[in-house]
Amino acid sequence: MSTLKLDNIQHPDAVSAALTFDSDGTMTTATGFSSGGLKVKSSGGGTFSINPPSSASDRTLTLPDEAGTVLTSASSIPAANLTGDIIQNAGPTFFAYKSSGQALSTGTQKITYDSTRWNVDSDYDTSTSKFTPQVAGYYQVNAGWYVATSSEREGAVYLYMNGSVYSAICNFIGGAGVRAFTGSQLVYMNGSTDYLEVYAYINGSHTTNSGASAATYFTGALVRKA
Amino acid sequence: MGLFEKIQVIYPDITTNDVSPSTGTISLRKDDDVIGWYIERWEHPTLAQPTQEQLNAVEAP
Repeated sequence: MSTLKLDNIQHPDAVSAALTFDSDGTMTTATGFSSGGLKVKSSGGGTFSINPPSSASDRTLTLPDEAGTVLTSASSIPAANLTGDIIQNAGPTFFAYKSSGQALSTGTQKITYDSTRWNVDSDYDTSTSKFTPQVAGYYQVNAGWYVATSSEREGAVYLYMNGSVYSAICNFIGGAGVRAFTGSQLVYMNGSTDYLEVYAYINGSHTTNSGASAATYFTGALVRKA
Repeated sequence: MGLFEKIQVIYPDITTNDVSPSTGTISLRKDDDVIGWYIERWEHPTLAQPTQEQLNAVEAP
C-alpha cells in the first residue's frame, strides 16, 4: 500500500482548489465552477450528489450510528417502524357550555351553548351554536344536557349536521330527579361547509342547568384528518 | 303556552307519546327564537294536522 500526500487538488481551469485536506483529516470541497457539492459516481451510470445549502453558517449533519436507509420527504414509513409516540397536536377543538339555563318544552329544540372554555381555531360560533371546522376529517363529538325533574321524562340528544339529524346519540326514559342526557359520536366533516348543532327532545317543560362544569355541554376535536 | 299544549287543546287525546322520538307520529321542532316552534312532521293516523289559524285561536289559560 502506498500513500500520496497532498493538501489540495485543483482542476487546471479552476481559480482555487476543488478539494483541500487539513492535518486533522478533514476533506473540504470548495465553491467554484459548480455548487461546491460532492458527486459520487453511481454503478448505474448516474451520479449521487450531496450539495450544501446556501448558508454562511457551519452546519453538521450527523448520520445515525446504524445501518439503514435515510428517508426523504417523499418516503413512506412502514407502520411497523412507528414505535414512538405520535401526538396529535393540530386541528380544531372546542368546549362549549351554557352560561345560563335554557327553557325546554315538549318537542325537539336546539340547545344554544353560548360560552366556551376553549375554542382552538375559532370554528365554534357562540352566536349560532354551530361547529363548522375548517379542516376535513373525522371528529369526536360529545354533547348533552340535564334537567332536574319531578317526574319520569323521556329525553334525547341529537346531533344535527347541516340542519338535519345526523345521529341520535342518546334516547332514554329517566325517572324523577336530576337527569343527564349525554352521548357521543364520530362524525366526518368536509372542512368547509359542514356544520354541527345539538338538539334536545324532552316531554315536558324544564330548564337546563348551566355553567362550565355542568353536564350541559358540547365538545369536539379532530381525531384524524381526511 | 307551548305548541304541544296548544295541540292538546285542539286534540285532547294527544299525549307526549305522540311526539316521542321513539313512538310518535308527530315531530315538533324549534331552531331559534325568531321562527319559534313549528310542526316538522305530522303523520298521525287519524287526526289532521291543525292549521295555523286553529293554533292561533288557542288562548293561553
